[in-house]
Amino acid sequence: MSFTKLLNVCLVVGLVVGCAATKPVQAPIPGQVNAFDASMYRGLRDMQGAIDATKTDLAAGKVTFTAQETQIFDDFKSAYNVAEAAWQVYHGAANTANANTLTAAYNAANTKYGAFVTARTPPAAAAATSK
Amino acid sequence: MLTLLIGPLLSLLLSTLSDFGVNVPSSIGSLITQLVPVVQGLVADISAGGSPSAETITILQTLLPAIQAIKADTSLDPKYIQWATLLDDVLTKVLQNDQDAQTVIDPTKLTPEV
Repeated sequence: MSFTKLLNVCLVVGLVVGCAATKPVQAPIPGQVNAFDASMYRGLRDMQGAIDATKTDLAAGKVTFTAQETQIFDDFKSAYNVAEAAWQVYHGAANTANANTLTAAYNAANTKYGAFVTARTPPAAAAATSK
Repeated sequence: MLTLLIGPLLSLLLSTLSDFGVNVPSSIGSLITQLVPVVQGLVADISAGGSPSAETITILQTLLPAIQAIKADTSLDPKYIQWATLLDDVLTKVLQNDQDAQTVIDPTKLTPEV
């Protein structure tokens, strides 16, 4: 149970970073097509980091998931994969249609993130601090 | 969106600590509680039109030393140390990727997950 919440923390962290990364990038980054391209890339790399670290810990036996948790995590990974593929397409051909597809895919991945987090609402933080 | 997520982040962090047992060391609770003003500052900056990316990274970088301090405290129950190790892994990887993503756009580094 504790490790489930730990994962939730990790996913929220990734989501916070991912959301922040959707804001315009301040300075051009080598290789970027435009600011949108760079911000989507950054957000997806952040998500990738959270997923990779979680997978590593799962493989190492540091975290165990229930079947439902596994499904939710898999759903998130699938949504990330769609967004990743959409970014690759946009990066190769930046146009409005591809931007719209990427935006939708990115938002869908974020939604899956959120679904995982909200599936388990933790007890009030005050209870934790009083111990 | 960020504002909505910051609260759950800290709430989850605190409840995770709590779940390890009734004997949550006060030093850990205090350590985490100290992050609240940082988060409030983050939310305020974002509301004022500040740089959310920079502020978000700041809070993550604030979290990391606190977690690593817990991880290094051998007097704690091994469960705490294990928790800190896991969270440290994820935060470190996210920050690593985030920093790398700001250096260069490399399509080969963004890969599907299986």
